[in-house]
Amino acid sequence: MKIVLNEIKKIFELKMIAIMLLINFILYFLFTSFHINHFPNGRPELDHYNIHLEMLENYGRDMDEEEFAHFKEVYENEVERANQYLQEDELAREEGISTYEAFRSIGSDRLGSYIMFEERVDLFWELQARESLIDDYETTDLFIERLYEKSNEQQRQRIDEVVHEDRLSSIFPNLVFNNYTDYIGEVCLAIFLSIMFMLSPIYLRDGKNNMNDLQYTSKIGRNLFKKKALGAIIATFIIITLELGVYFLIYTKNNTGMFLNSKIISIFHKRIFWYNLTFIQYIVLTLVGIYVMGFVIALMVSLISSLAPNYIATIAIQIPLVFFTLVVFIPYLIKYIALVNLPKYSRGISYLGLVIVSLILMGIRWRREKLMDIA
Amino acid sequence: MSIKVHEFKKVVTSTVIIGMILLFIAFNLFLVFDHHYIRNELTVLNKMVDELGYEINDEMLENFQDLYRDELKKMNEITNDKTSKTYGDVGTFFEEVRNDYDLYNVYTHKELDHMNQIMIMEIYLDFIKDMDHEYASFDLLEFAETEISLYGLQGSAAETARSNYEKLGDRLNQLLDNGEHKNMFFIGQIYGMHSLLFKDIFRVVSFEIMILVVLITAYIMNYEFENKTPLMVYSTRRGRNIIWDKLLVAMGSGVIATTLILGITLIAYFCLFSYKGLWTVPISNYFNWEDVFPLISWWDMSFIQYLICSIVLTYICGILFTMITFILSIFTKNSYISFFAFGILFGLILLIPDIMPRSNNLIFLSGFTPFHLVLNPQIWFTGRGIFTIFKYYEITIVGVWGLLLFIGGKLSAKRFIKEDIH
Repeated sequence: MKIVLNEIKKIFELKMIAIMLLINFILYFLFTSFHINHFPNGRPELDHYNIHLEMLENYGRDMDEEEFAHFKEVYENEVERANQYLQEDELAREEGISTYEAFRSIGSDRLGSYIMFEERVDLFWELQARESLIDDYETTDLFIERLYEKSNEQQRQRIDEVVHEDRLSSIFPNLVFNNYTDYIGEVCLAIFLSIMFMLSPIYLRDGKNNMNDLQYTSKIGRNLFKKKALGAIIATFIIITLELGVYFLIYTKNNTGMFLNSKIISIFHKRIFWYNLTFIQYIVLTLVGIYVMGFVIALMVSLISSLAPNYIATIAIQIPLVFFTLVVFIPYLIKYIALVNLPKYSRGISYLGLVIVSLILMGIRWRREKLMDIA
Repeated sequence: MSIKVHEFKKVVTSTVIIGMILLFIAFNLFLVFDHHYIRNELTVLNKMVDELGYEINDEMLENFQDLYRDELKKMNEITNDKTSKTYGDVGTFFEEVRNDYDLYNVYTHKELDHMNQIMIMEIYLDFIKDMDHEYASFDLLEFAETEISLYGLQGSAAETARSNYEKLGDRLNQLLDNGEHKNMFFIGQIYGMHSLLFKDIFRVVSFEIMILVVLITAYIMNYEFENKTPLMVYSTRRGRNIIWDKLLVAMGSGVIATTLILGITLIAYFCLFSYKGLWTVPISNYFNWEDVFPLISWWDMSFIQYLICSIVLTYICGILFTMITFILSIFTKNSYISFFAFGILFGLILLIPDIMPRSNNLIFLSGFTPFHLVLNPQIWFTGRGIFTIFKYYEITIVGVWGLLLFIGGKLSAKRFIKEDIH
């Protein structure tokens, strides 16, 4: 155990930690911070957010027909207020527009941009958002129909199930989900790059220092390969846990806690998932994904480190790995981990496959290491 | 001489670097061939230019319309034969055919293909019709104001931006007087060939070259330290001066890598998409107006001149990155750390404009870096974005950074040469 501990100490060299922090700092301010500083991102997103809070307060987690009727009533009342506003507004009178209906039908012109962008009347932005929500709710059938057209048999079954069990009435805005997935995607990149950066020297450092010849002569030295791999896994666990801790602390600034127990399948969200998850369950699922993927990456990086002749080689070999992580792993296996866009068990199988392949590869490497001659 | 050869051997015998070059080339070829489907439609322009020339003037327009009318007549003969219908233009014909599958089946593939070609001619004619109006209704200063308020510029920074856009306005007027815009090219709004070549491909290539150049330089600069030979090499006067050999070899290898990647990618591109007859078309033509902003180059350049300038700038950027890595390597003495130090430098430089005060001209200065240059190859030598609009933007960056890096390199090398062995 003492060797493992020392290996972990070697991984967490002060200079390496400093560079890792700098990498995280830069990635955060270049990409990730956007999803914190700009949430909700302008209008009408802010209005959507506020209205969802109001809905949550008035109707609870779901919105049934009766509550929807009430929601429409609120809308009608607000239209009344908008009418009043227009009747009192000078420019509106000049243009001869006295009702909200007339205001809407003229589209974007002088009055529209005056009210929406110059005066920034909350009421009108809110009305716009309410309309789109009412529209979402009322066109549920159309949405399902459209979705049906581009779905395969398995997906249709799931859609039927969702409709049958009446799961679409949950109150969950897609802006919260989009914001979370975008954020976690950037966080993933930062975490995985940190793992790659910290673990790449793990075998190479000893190789470069010609330690292998020394180590191979003793039984304990031969076994170092396994101990180092264990050290890599533990270090990965530490890196992921610490970084997730910090990034989720930052995420709490977005104030989405009230949606944690909402079901994410919702007509306002417009995405269908394989499982009936709440938002917090989905978050936990993505976290599990990050841990598993982190371990897979740790094993792959260790393997590369034990094979590469020099540092440049480890970087070069990992560039395709980063590309692949960015284009395939993060979007398909983490951000949208339970979305119906891929077959139901494909993600589970992918994770299992990745874990098995990386374990087998490391196993093969270990067997070779055991028998390696001292050159 | 032979030291340089040996240093060069270190690069060439590194399978990883060769592998990276091959991988990048393969990726670029994939990127180019991914757009092969527009190829056939593009050749219509080559044929037209072959017959009519690329300059749009009254005579050419007359010929163009005659050509189009001839073709339309031919088409109407066919349609009259088959369905006893005639059409005023190809657009209505295709609208009808699209909605009626039976009608679609009446025509052979070859005929439809031919009609599609006439359709493209029609689109070109429509575009030309709108040309003067588009330029007349384009308000450069309004665009400038939107940009200024978008980035929240104030005070002297806003003034600088305004005067820059005014200068660009002068250039736009000069361009219109010259008739640079009155030239045929691939329709930007449909095919986006300028973006494909100078944004997608050149940006990817620039990044690949950056990665390669940094890897190569970091590799040979730190080679002695990583192979436990510095005590021997750096204990003699000649040995200390090896870093200059290393720098030259790194630059040379970078240039070779650039030639390979850029050369093969561009050859593939121009084999796939024929630019026959279009090489000398001014780059600031109307058809390169792809979105809300027309393409306004600061100088009257033809396509081939623009391409050559872009290629040269790509090479120079590669050399600048080599020099940056050279300096970093002297301090880190470790190829792994050098690579990440370069990445961190890149990131920090991109972050600087965000923290600059919006009312000071310094905010423009923070955009004058080769890193910003490789991020936006599509705006090279043209005016568009508020931070890159300066007429001599590219030349200033290359000149100033080249000079600074030369001095920085000299100073760090001086330091290195006097360093103690330990």
